[in-house]
Amino acid sequence: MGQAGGRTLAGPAPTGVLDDATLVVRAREGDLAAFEALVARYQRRIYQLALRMTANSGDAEDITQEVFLIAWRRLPEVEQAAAFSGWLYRTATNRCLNLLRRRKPLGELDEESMATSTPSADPQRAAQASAQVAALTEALQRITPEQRAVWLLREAHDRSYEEIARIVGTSPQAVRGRLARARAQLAELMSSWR
Amino acid sequence: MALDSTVQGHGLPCGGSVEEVFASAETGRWTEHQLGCEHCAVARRGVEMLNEATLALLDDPAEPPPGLLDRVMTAVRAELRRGDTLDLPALLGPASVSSQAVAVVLRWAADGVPGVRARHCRVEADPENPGAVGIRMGLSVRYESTATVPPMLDEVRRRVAAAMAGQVGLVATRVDLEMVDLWDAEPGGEST
Amino acid sequence: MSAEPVGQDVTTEVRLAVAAAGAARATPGVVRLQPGLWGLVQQLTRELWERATGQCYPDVGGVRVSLGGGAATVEIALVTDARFEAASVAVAAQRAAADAVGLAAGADGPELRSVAVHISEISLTGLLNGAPSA
Repeated sequence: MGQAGGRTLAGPAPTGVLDDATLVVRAREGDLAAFEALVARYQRRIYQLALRMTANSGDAEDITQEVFLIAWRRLPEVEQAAAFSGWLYRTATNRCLNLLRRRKPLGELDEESMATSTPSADPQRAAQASAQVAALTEALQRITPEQRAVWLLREAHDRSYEEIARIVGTSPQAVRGRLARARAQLAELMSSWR
Repeated sequence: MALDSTVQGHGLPCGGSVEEVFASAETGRWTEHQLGCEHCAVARRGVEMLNEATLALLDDPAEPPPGLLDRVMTAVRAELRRGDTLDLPALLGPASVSSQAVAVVLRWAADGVPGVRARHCRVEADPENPGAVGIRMGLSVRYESTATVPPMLDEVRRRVAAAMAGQVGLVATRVDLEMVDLWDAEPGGEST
Repeated sequence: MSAEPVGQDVTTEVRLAVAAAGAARATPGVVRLQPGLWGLVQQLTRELWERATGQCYPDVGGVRVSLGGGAATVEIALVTDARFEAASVAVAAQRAAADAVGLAAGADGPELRSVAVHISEISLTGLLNGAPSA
Protein backbone atom coordinates (compact mmCIF):
# COMPACT_ATOMS: atom_id res chain seq x y z
CA MET A 1 0.00 0.00 0.00
CA GLY A 2 0.91 3.64 -0.59
CA GLN A 3 3.86 4.12 1.70
CA ALA A 4 6.74 2.73 -0.29
CA GLY A 5 10.31 2.79 1.02
CA GLY A 6 9.75 0.53 4.03
CA ARG A 7 9.45 3.45 6.45
CA THR A 8 6.93 3.15 9.19
CA LEU A 9 3.95 5.25 8.42
CA ALA A 10 4.39 8.58 10.15
CA GLY A 11 0.78 9.22 11.04
CA PRO A 12 -0.33 12.66 9.97
CA ALA A 13 -1.17 15.08 12.74
CA PRO A 14 -4.69 14.45 14.00
CA THR A 15 -7.16 17.06 12.77
CA GLY A 16 -7.49 18.32 16.34
CA VAL A 17 -4.12 20.11 16.20
CA LEU A 18 -4.58 21.70 12.78
CA ASP A 19 -4.97 25.48 12.64
CA ASP A 20 -8.37 27.06 11.98
CA ALA A 21 -7.42 28.29 8.51
CA THR A 22 -6.50 24.78 7.36
CA LEU A 23 -9.64 23.25 8.86
CA VAL A 24 -11.89 25.93 7.35
CA VAL A 25 -10.47 25.44 3.84
CA ARG A 26 -10.96 21.70 4.16
CA ALA A 27 -14.47 21.99 5.56
CA ARG A 28 -15.38 24.42 2.78
CA GLU A 29 -14.47 21.68 0.30
CA GLY A 30 -16.80 19.21 2.03
CA ASP A 31 -14.37 17.56 4.46
CA LEU A 32 -16.71 16.62 7.31
CA ALA A 33 -13.92 15.52 9.66
CA ALA A 34 -12.42 19.00 9.39
CA PHE A 35 -15.76 20.63 10.16
CA GLU A 36 -16.31 18.27 13.07
CA ALA A 37 -12.92 19.30 14.48
CA LEU A 38 -13.99 22.95 14.29
CA VAL A 39 -17.26 22.24 16.08
CA ALA A 40 -15.43 20.26 18.75
CA ARG A 41 -12.96 23.12 19.17
CA TYR A 42 -15.51 25.92 19.60
CA GLN A 43 -18.77 24.38 20.83
CA ARG A 44 -17.86 24.84 24.50
CA ARG A 45 -16.94 28.52 24.13
CA ILE A 46 -19.97 29.37 22.02
CA TYR A 47 -22.29 27.47 24.34
CA GLN A 48 -20.90 29.22 27.41
CA LEU A 49 -21.23 32.63 25.78
CA ALA A 50 -24.85 31.88 24.86
CA LEU A 51 -25.56 30.45 28.32
CA ARG A 52 -24.26 33.54 30.12
CA MET A 53 -25.99 35.81 27.63
CA THR A 54 -29.41 34.15 27.89
CA ALA A 55 -29.18 32.45 31.31
CA ASN A 56 -31.18 29.62 29.79
CA SER A 57 -29.58 26.30 28.87
CA GLY A 58 -32.23 25.40 26.30
CA ASP A 59 -31.77 28.69 24.48
CA ALA A 60 -27.99 28.35 24.70
CA GLU A 61 -28.17 24.89 23.17
CA ASP A 62 -30.45 26.02 20.33
CA ILE A 63 -28.25 29.01 19.57
CA THR A 64 -25.05 26.94 19.59
CA GLN A 65 -26.58 24.40 17.24
CA GLU A 66 -27.85 27.11 14.89
CA VAL A 67 -24.54 28.95 14.86
CA PHE A 68 -22.66 25.88 13.66
CA LEU A 69 -25.29 24.97 11.11
CA ILE A 70 -25.16 28.50 9.71
CA ALA A 71 -21.37 28.25 9.77
CA TRP A 72 -21.55 25.14 7.61
CA ARG A 73 -23.87 26.81 5.12
CA ARG A 74 -21.88 30.04 5.00
CA LEU A 75 -18.41 28.50 4.88
CA PRO A 76 -17.96 29.54 1.25
CA GLU A 77 -18.53 33.15 2.32
CA VAL A 78 -16.10 33.17 5.25
CA GLU A 79 -13.42 34.98 3.30
CA GLN A 80 -10.58 35.01 5.76
CA ALA A 81 -10.40 31.39 6.81
CA ALA A 82 -8.33 32.39 9.85
CA ALA A 83 -11.09 34.74 11.04
CA PHE A 84 -13.48 31.85 11.62
CA SER A 85 -13.63 32.20 15.40
CA GLY A 86 -14.50 35.90 15.08
CA TRP A 87 -17.26 34.97 12.67
CA LEU A 88 -18.63 32.41 15.16
CA TYR A 89 -18.59 34.91 18.00
CA ARG A 90 -20.29 37.54 15.87
CA THR A 91 -23.04 35.18 14.75
CA ALA A 92 -23.57 33.82 18.27
CA THR A 93 -23.69 37.30 19.81
CA ASN A 94 -26.19 38.53 17.24
CA ARG A 95 -28.38 35.47 17.72
CA CYS A 96 -28.37 36.05 21.48
CA LEU A 97 -29.18 39.74 21.13
CA ASN A 98 -32.02 38.98 18.70
CA LEU A 99 -33.47 36.42 21.09
CA LEU A 100 -33.20 38.78 24.05
CA ARG A 101 -34.92 41.58 22.14
CA ARG A 102 -37.91 39.30 21.65
CA ARG A 103 -37.88 38.24 25.26
CA LYS A 104 -39.26 40.23 28.18
CA PRO A 105 -36.59 41.85 30.32
CA LEU A 106 -35.35 39.56 33.06
CA GLY A 107 -36.74 36.50 31.34
CA GLU A 108 -36.55 32.95 32.46
CA LEU A 109 -33.37 32.20 34.38
CA ASP A 110 -33.28 28.46 34.51
CA GLU A 111 -31.87 26.20 37.16
CA GLU A 112 -29.10 24.81 35.04
CA SER A 113 -27.44 28.10 34.19
CA MET A 114 -27.32 28.85 37.89
CA ALA A 115 -26.31 25.46 39.20
CA THR A 116 -22.85 25.04 37.79
CA SER A 117 -21.52 22.52 40.25
CA THR A 118 -18.89 20.21 38.93
CA PRO A 119 -17.01 17.32 40.49
CA SER A 120 -13.95 18.72 42.19
CA ALA A 121 -11.20 17.68 44.54
CA ASP A 122 -12.20 20.53 46.80
CA PRO A 123 -16.00 20.53 47.16
CA GLN A 124 -16.05 23.63 49.33
CA ARG A 125 -13.98 25.61 46.85
CA ALA A 126 -16.14 24.33 43.99
CA ALA A 127 -19.34 25.29 45.79
CA GLN A 128 -17.93 28.75 46.38
CA ALA A 129 -16.96 29.18 42.72
CA SER A 130 -20.31 27.84 41.64
CA ALA A 131 -22.15 30.32 43.86
CA GLN A 132 -20.02 33.16 42.49
CA VAL A 133 -20.78 32.19 38.91
CA ALA A 134 -24.48 31.98 39.74
CA ALA A 135 -24.44 35.44 41.35
CA LEU A 136 -22.55 36.88 38.40
CA THR A 137 -24.93 35.27 35.94
CA GLU A 138 -27.81 36.85 37.77
CA ALA A 139 -26.09 40.23 37.88
CA LEU A 140 -25.40 39.98 34.14
CA GLN A 141 -29.13 39.66 33.51
CA ARG A 142 -29.63 43.07 35.13
CA ILE A 143 -27.46 45.04 32.72
CA THR A 144 -28.46 45.65 29.11
CA PRO A 145 -27.89 42.77 26.68
CA GLU A 146 -25.50 44.97 24.67
CA GLN A 147 -23.38 45.70 27.75
CA ARG A 148 -23.56 42.05 28.77
CA ALA A 149 -22.28 40.99 25.34
CA VAL A 150 -19.36 43.42 25.48
CA TRP A 151 -18.47 42.42 29.03
CA LEU A 152 -18.60 38.67 28.31
CA LEU A 153 -16.62 38.93 25.07
CA ARG A 154 -13.90 40.96 26.78
CA GLU A 155 -13.70 39.48 30.28
CA ALA A 156 -14.75 35.85 29.74
CA HIS A 157 -13.64 35.29 26.14
CA ASP A 158 -10.62 37.56 25.86
CA ARG A 159 -11.58 39.12 22.54
CA SER A 160 -9.83 42.35 21.56
CA TYR A 161 -11.60 45.73 21.59
CA GLU A 162 -11.28 45.89 17.80
CA GLU A 163 -12.85 42.48 17.38
CA ILE A 164 -15.67 43.21 19.83
CA ALA A 165 -16.33 46.43 17.95
CA ARG A 166 -16.73 44.42 14.73
CA ILE A 167 -18.88 41.83 16.49
CA VAL A 168 -21.39 44.32 17.91
CA GLY A 169 -21.07 46.78 15.05
CA THR A 170 -19.62 49.84 16.77
CA SER A 171 -16.25 51.54 17.35
CA PRO A 172 -13.51 50.32 19.72
CA GLN A 173 -14.00 53.58 21.60
CA ALA A 174 -17.67 52.84 22.16
CA VAL A 175 -16.75 49.33 23.27
CA ARG A 176 -14.45 50.76 25.95
CA GLY A 177 -17.24 53.01 27.20
CA ARG A 178 -19.79 50.21 27.25
CA LEU A 179 -17.35 47.93 29.03
CA ALA A 180 -16.62 50.54 31.72
CA ARG A 181 -20.34 51.02 32.35
CA ALA A 182 -20.88 47.26 32.48
CA ARG A 183 -18.05 46.75 34.95
CA ALA A 184 -19.23 49.56 37.23
CA GLN A 185 -22.79 48.28 37.26
CA LEU A 186 -21.72 44.69 37.82
CA ALA A 187 -19.47 45.79 40.68
CA GLU A 188 -22.42 47.59 42.21
CA LEU A 189 -24.67 44.56 41.82
CA MET A 190 -22.00 42.26 43.24
CA SER A 191 -21.27 44.50 46.23
CA SER A 192 -24.56 43.42 47.82
CA TRP A 193 -23.89 39.72 47.28
CA ARG A 194 -22.64 37.47 50.01
CA MET B 1 -23.01 52.24 46.35
CA ALA B 2 -25.03 54.78 44.45
CA LEU B 3 -23.62 55.52 41.06
CA ASP B 4 -23.67 58.87 39.38
CA SER B 5 -22.64 58.24 35.82
CA THR B 6 -23.26 61.79 34.64
CA VAL B 7 -19.89 62.91 35.97
CA GLN B 8 -16.61 61.69 34.54
CA GLY B 9 -16.65 57.92 35.00
CA HIS B 10 -18.95 56.49 37.65
CA GLY B 11 -18.78 58.89 40.54
CA LEU B 12 -19.23 57.93 44.14
CA PRO B 13 -20.88 60.27 46.65
CA CYS B 14 -17.45 60.84 48.21
CA GLY B 15 -16.05 62.30 45.01
CA GLY B 16 -14.06 59.21 44.07
CA SER B 17 -15.03 56.93 41.18
CA VAL B 18 -15.56 53.22 40.56
CA GLU B 19 -12.85 53.41 37.89
CA GLU B 20 -10.34 54.53 40.51
CA VAL B 21 -11.37 51.64 42.74
CA PHE B 22 -10.91 49.21 39.82
CA ALA B 23 -7.48 50.69 39.15
CA SER B 24 -6.45 50.39 42.83
CA ALA B 25 -7.72 46.81 42.99
CA GLU B 26 -5.56 46.02 39.96
CA THR B 27 -2.37 47.49 41.40
CA GLY B 28 -3.12 46.68 45.04
CA ARG B 29 -2.24 50.26 45.99
CA TRP B 30 -4.97 52.08 47.89
CA THR B 31 -5.07 55.76 48.73
CA GLU B 32 -5.48 57.11 52.22
CA HIS B 33 -8.99 58.26 51.26
CA GLN B 34 -10.03 54.93 49.81
CA LEU B 35 -8.96 53.06 52.92
CA GLY B 36 -11.00 55.30 55.20
CA CYS B 37 -14.06 56.00 53.04
CA GLU B 38 -17.21 53.89 53.46
CA HIS B 39 -18.38 54.54 49.88
CA CYS B 40 -15.05 53.41 48.51
CA ALA B 41 -15.17 50.37 50.83
CA VAL B 42 -18.52 49.27 49.38
CA ALA B 43 -17.23 49.87 45.86
CA ARG B 44 -14.07 47.92 46.69
CA ARG B 45 -16.11 45.00 47.95
CA GLY B 46 -18.13 45.00 44.72
CA VAL B 47 -15.00 45.17 42.57
CA GLU B 48 -13.37 42.32 44.48
CA MET B 49 -16.52 40.21 44.30
CA LEU B 50 -16.75 40.86 40.58
CA ASN B 51 -13.08 40.01 40.04
CA GLU B 52 -13.39 36.76 41.95
CA ALA B 53 -16.58 35.79 40.17
CA THR B 54 -14.94 36.62 36.83
CA LEU B 55 -12.09 34.26 37.63
CA ALA B 56 -14.62 31.56 38.51
CA LEU B 57 -16.40 32.22 35.23
CA LEU B 58 -13.15 31.78 33.28
CA ASP B 59 -13.24 28.21 34.58
CA ASP B 60 -16.89 27.97 33.60
CA PRO B 61 -17.81 24.36 34.29
CA ALA B 62 -20.96 24.59 32.16
CA GLU B 63 -20.57 22.07 29.36
CA PRO B 64 -22.59 21.88 26.17
CA PRO B 65 -24.97 18.90 26.25
CA PRO B 66 -23.14 15.72 25.21
CA GLY B 67 -25.26 15.11 22.11
CA LEU B 68 -24.75 18.56 20.61
CA LEU B 69 -21.79 17.72 18.38
CA ASP B 70 -23.58 14.69 16.95
CA ARG B 71 -26.76 16.63 16.33
CA VAL B 72 -24.83 19.32 14.45
CA MET B 73 -23.00 16.73 12.37
CA THR B 74 -26.20 14.82 11.57
CA ALA B 75 -27.81 18.02 10.33
CA VAL B 76 -24.70 18.86 8.31
CA ARG B 77 -24.58 15.40 6.73
CA ALA B 78 -28.20 15.72 5.69
CA GLU B 79 -27.26 18.87 3.78
CA LEU B 80 -24.18 17.40 2.17
CA ARG B 81 -24.21 18.11 -1.50
CA ARG B 82 -23.49 15.29 -3.90
CA GLY B 83 -20.69 17.34 -5.48
CA ASP B 84 -18.31 16.47 -8.29
CA THR B 85 -17.42 12.89 -9.04
CA LEU B 86 -14.60 11.07 -10.78
CA ASP B 87 -15.25 8.05 -12.97
CA LEU B 88 -13.66 4.78 -11.96
CA PRO B 89 -12.89 1.99 -14.43
CA ALA B 90 -15.68 -0.62 -14.22
CA LEU B 91 -17.46 -3.24 -16.33
CA LEU B 92 -21.01 -3.87 -15.17
CA GLY B 93 -22.15 -0.28 -15.08
CA PRO B 94 -20.83 3.15 -14.21
CA ALA B 95 -18.65 3.50 -11.12
CA SER B 96 -17.64 6.78 -9.58
CA VAL B 97 -16.09 8.26 -6.49
CA SER B 98 -16.80 11.62 -4.90
CA SER B 99 -14.02 14.15 -5.59
CA GLN B 100 -14.38 15.32 -1.99
CA ALA B 101 -13.77 11.79 -0.76
CA VAL B 102 -10.63 11.55 -2.88
CA ALA B 103 -9.44 14.95 -1.63
CA VAL B 104 -9.72 13.73 1.97
CA VAL B 105 -7.43 10.79 1.19
CA LEU B 106 -4.91 12.96 -0.67
CA ARG B 107 -4.76 15.51 2.14
CA TRP B 108 -4.16 12.68 4.58
CA ALA B 109 -1.27 11.52 2.41
CA ALA B 110 0.25 15.02 2.26
CA ASP B 111 -0.23 15.56 6.01
CA GLY B 112 2.00 12.52 6.55
CA VAL B 113 5.01 14.65 5.57
CA PRO B 114 6.20 16.37 8.76
CA GLY B 115 5.63 20.11 8.59
CA VAL B 116 2.97 19.92 5.89
CA ARG B 117 -0.72 20.74 6.27
CA ALA B 118 -2.77 20.26 3.16
CA ARG B 119 -5.42 22.85 2.41
CA HIS B 120 -7.39 23.10 -0.81
CA CYS B 121 -7.36 20.11 -3.09
CA ARG B 122 -8.82 19.88 -6.56
CA VAL B 123 -8.87 16.64 -8.53
CA GLU B 124 -9.86 16.69 -12.18
CA ALA B 125 -10.20 13.90 -14.70
CA ASP B 126 -7.77 14.08 -17.61
CA PRO B 127 -10.14 14.24 -20.59
CA GLU B 128 -7.63 12.63 -22.94
CA ASN B 129 -6.60 9.88 -20.62
CA PRO B 130 -9.26 7.64 -19.05
CA GLY B 131 -8.35 6.58 -15.51
CA ALA B 132 -5.91 9.48 -15.16
CA VAL B 133 -6.35 12.63 -13.11
CA GLY B 134 -4.58 15.89 -12.42
CA ILE B 135 -4.27 17.15 -8.84
CA ARG B 136 -3.87 20.70 -7.57
CA MET B 137 -3.21 21.13 -3.89
CA GLY B 138 -2.50 24.06 -1.61
CA LEU B 139 -0.14 23.57 1.29
CA SER B 140 0.65 25.31 4.51
CA VAL B 141 4.31 24.51 5.14
CA ARG B 142 6.56 24.84 8.14
CA TYR B 143 9.48 26.98 7.11
CA GLU B 144 12.95 26.19 8.38
CA SER B 145 15.17 27.30 5.53
CA THR B 146 15.01 27.54 1.76
CA ALA B 147 16.82 24.21 1.60
CA THR B 148 14.16 22.23 3.45
CA VAL B 149 11.22 23.15 1.27
CA PRO B 150 11.97 21.46 -2.09
CA PRO B 151 12.55 17.99 -0.60
CA MET B 152 9.36 18.43 1.40
CA LEU B 153 7.40 19.18 -1.74
CA ASP B 154 8.96 16.21 -3.55
CA GLU B 155 7.88 13.96 -0.72
CA VAL B 156 4.34 15.36 -0.79
CA ARG B 157 4.16 14.80 -4.55
CA ARG B 158 5.37 11.22 -4.15
CA ARG B 159 2.95 10.40 -1.32
CA VAL B 160 -0.04 12.03 -3.00
CA ALA B 161 0.59 10.10 -6.22
CA ALA B 162 1.07 6.88 -4.23
CA ALA B 163 -2.22 7.41 -2.37
CA MET B 164 -4.01 8.12 -5.64
CA ALA B 165 -2.83 4.77 -6.95
CA GLY B 166 -3.02 2.74 -3.74
CA GLN B 167 -6.09 4.09 -2.02
CA VAL B 168 -8.17 5.26 -4.95
CA GLY B 169 -7.00 3.30 -7.98
CA LEU B 170 -6.49 6.16 -10.41
CA VAL B 171 -3.25 7.46 -11.92
CA ALA B 172 -2.11 10.99 -11.14
CA THR B 173 -0.46 12.40 -14.24
CA ARG B 174 0.11 15.79 -12.63
CA VAL B 175 0.49 16.91 -9.01
CA ASP B 176 0.65 20.71 -8.87
CA LEU B 177 1.50 22.04 -5.45
CA GLU B 178 1.04 25.60 -4.29
CA MET B 179 2.42 26.95 -1.04
CA VAL B 180 -0.35 29.13 0.34
CA ASP B 181 1.00 29.67 3.83
CA LEU B 182 4.19 29.29 5.84
CA TRP B 183 4.43 28.73 9.54
CA ASP B 184 7.17 28.49 12.13
CA ALA B 185 7.37 25.63 14.56
CA GLU B 186 4.83 26.81 17.05
CA PRO B 187 3.98 25.85 20.58
CA GLY B 188 1.16 23.37 20.59
CA GLY B 189 1.77 22.69 16.92
CA GLU B 190 2.16 19.26 15.51
CA SER B 191 4.83 16.93 16.78
CA THR B 192 7.05 15.66 14.05
CA MET C 1 -48.62 -12.51 -3.49
CA SER C 2 -51.93 -11.00 -4.54
CA ALA C 3 -50.93 -7.42 -5.03
CA GLU C 4 -51.89 -5.12 -7.89
CA PRO C 5 -49.28 -4.58 -10.65
CA VAL C 6 -47.83 -1.47 -9.03
CA GLY C 7 -47.40 -3.35 -5.78
CA GLN C 8 -45.87 -6.23 -7.72
CA ASP C 9 -43.20 -3.96 -9.19
CA VAL C 10 -42.49 -2.40 -5.83
CA THR C 11 -42.10 -5.73 -4.07
CA THR C 12 -39.75 -6.91 -6.81
CA GLU C 13 -37.71 -3.72 -6.57
CA VAL C 14 -37.43 -4.03 -2.82
CA ARG C 15 -36.56 -7.75 -3.03
CA LEU C 16 -33.76 -7.03 -5.50
CA ALA C 17 -32.58 -4.08 -3.43
CA VAL C 18 -32.32 -6.29 -0.34
CA ALA C 19 -30.19 -8.75 -2.32
CA ALA C 20 -27.95 -6.00 -3.73
CA ALA C 21 -27.56 -4.32 -0.33
CA GLY C 22 -26.59 -7.56 1.39
CA ALA C 23 -24.03 -8.42 -1.30
CA ALA C 24 -22.52 -4.92 -1.28
CA ARG C 25 -22.26 -4.81 2.50
CA ALA C 26 -20.47 -8.18 2.50
CA THR C 27 -17.87 -7.05 -0.03
CA PRO C 28 -14.41 -6.68 1.57
CA GLY C 29 -13.48 -3.00 1.80
CA VAL C 30 -17.07 -1.79 2.10
CA VAL C 31 -17.60 -0.03 5.43
CA ARG C 32 -21.30 0.70 5.00
CA LEU C 33 -23.91 1.78 2.51
CA GLN C 34 -24.68 5.48 2.22
CA PRO C 35 -28.38 6.36 2.36
CA GLY C 36 -29.71 9.67 1.13
CA LEU C 37 -27.86 10.09 -2.14
CA TRP C 38 -30.42 8.32 -4.29
CA GLY C 39 -33.27 10.23 -2.71
CA LEU C 40 -35.21 9.20 0.34
CA VAL C 41 -37.56 6.26 0.17
CA GLN C 42 -40.90 7.54 -0.91
CA GLN C 43 -43.61 7.04 1.62
CA LEU C 44 -45.73 5.46 -1.10
CA THR C 45 -43.15 2.78 -1.80
CA ARG C 46 -42.94 1.97 1.87
CA GLU C 47 -46.71 1.77 2.24
CA LEU C 48 -47.14 -0.38 -0.87
CA TRP C 49 -44.47 -2.73 0.35
CA GLU C 50 -45.87 -3.07 3.83
CA ARG C 51 -49.41 -3.60 2.52
CA ALA C 52 -48.31 -6.19 -0.05
CA THR C 53 -46.07 -8.20 2.26
CA GLY C 54 -47.31 -7.45 5.75
CA GLN C 55 -43.68 -7.01 6.76
CA CYS C 56 -41.62 -4.05 7.96
CA TYR C 57 -39.81 -2.19 5.23
CA PRO C 58 -36.24 -3.54 5.10
CA ASP C 59 -33.10 -1.44 5.42
CA VAL C 60 -32.06 -0.79 1.84
CA GLY C 61 -30.77 2.75 2.37
CA GLY C 62 -28.02 3.44 -0.15
CA VAL C 63 -29.52 1.13 -2.80
CA ARG C 64 -32.05 1.97 -5.46
CA VAL C 65 -33.52 -0.50 -7.90
CA SER C 66 -35.64 0.75 -10.80
CA LEU C 67 -37.62 -1.57 -13.03
CA GLY C 68 -38.44 -0.51 -16.54
CA GLY C 69 -38.99 -2.35 -19.81
CA GLY C 70 -38.52 -5.72 -18.13
CA ALA C 71 -35.03 -4.87 -16.90
CA ALA C 72 -33.61 -3.71 -13.58
CA THR C 73 -31.16 -0.89 -12.97
CA VAL C 74 -29.34 -1.01 -9.65
CA GLU C 75 -27.59 1.94 -8.03
CA ILE C 76 -25.50 1.58 -4.89
CA ALA C 77 -23.87 4.32 -2.82
CA LEU C 78 -21.27 3.19 -0.35
CA VAL C 79 -18.37 4.08 1.91
CA THR C 80 -15.09 2.24 1.44
CA ASP C 81 -12.21 1.57 3.79
CA ALA C 82 -9.03 3.45 2.77
CA ARG C 83 -6.97 0.33 3.44
CA PHE C 84 -8.49 -1.04 0.23
CA GLU C 85 -8.16 0.40 -3.24
CA ALA C 86 -11.46 2.14 -3.85
CA ALA C 87 -11.70 1.29 -7.56
CA SER C 88 -11.25 -2.45 -6.88
CA VAL C 89 -13.84 -2.36 -4.11
CA ALA C 90 -16.28 -0.69 -6.51
CA VAL C 91 -15.76 -3.42 -9.11
CA ALA C 92 -16.05 -6.21 -6.53
CA ALA C 93 -19.24 -4.70 -5.07
CA GLN C 94 -20.68 -4.37 -8.57
CA ARG C 95 -19.96 -8.01 -9.35
CA ALA C 96 -21.30 -9.27 -6.00
CA ALA C 97 -24.47 -7.20 -6.31
CA ALA C 98 -25.01 -8.34 -9.90
CA ASP C 99 -24.73 -12.00 -8.88
CA ALA C 100 -27.06 -11.56 -5.91
CA VAL C 101 -29.66 -9.64 -7.90
CA GLY C 102 -29.56 -12.24 -10.68
CA LEU C 103 -30.17 -14.98 -8.14
CA ALA C 104 -32.96 -13.09 -6.40
CA ALA C 105 -34.69 -12.26 -9.69
CA GLY C 106 -34.84 -15.92 -10.71
CA ALA C 107 -35.13 -17.36 -14.19
CA ASP C 108 -38.30 -15.50 -15.21
CA GLY C 109 -37.53 -12.31 -13.32
CA PRO C 110 -36.32 -9.05 -14.84
CA GLU C 111 -32.94 -9.06 -16.48
CA LEU C 112 -30.20 -6.87 -15.07
CA ARG C 113 -29.40 -3.78 -17.11
CA SER C 114 -26.57 -2.32 -15.02
CA VAL C 115 -25.20 -1.91 -11.51
CA ALA C 116 -23.90 1.59 -10.81
CA VAL C 117 -21.65 2.08 -7.81
CA HIS C 118 -20.88 5.45 -6.27
CA ILE C 119 -18.31 5.84 -3.50
CA SER C 120 -19.40 8.78 -1.37
CA GLU C 121 -16.66 8.55 1.21
CA ILE C 122 -13.35 6.78 1.71
CA SER C 123 -13.05 6.19 5.43
CA LEU C 124 -9.65 6.82 6.98
CA THR C 125 -10.71 5.39 10.33
CA GLY C 126 -9.00 2.06 9.73
CA LEU C 127 -5.77 3.77 8.68
CA LEU C 128 -5.77 6.15 11.63
CA ASN C 129 -6.67 3.61 14.31
CA GLY C 130 -5.27 0.31 13.14
CA ALA C 131 -1.85 -0.64 11.86
CA PRO C 132 -1.61 0.12 8.16
CA SER C 133 -1.91 -2.97 6.02
CA ALA C 134 1.37 -3.99 4.42
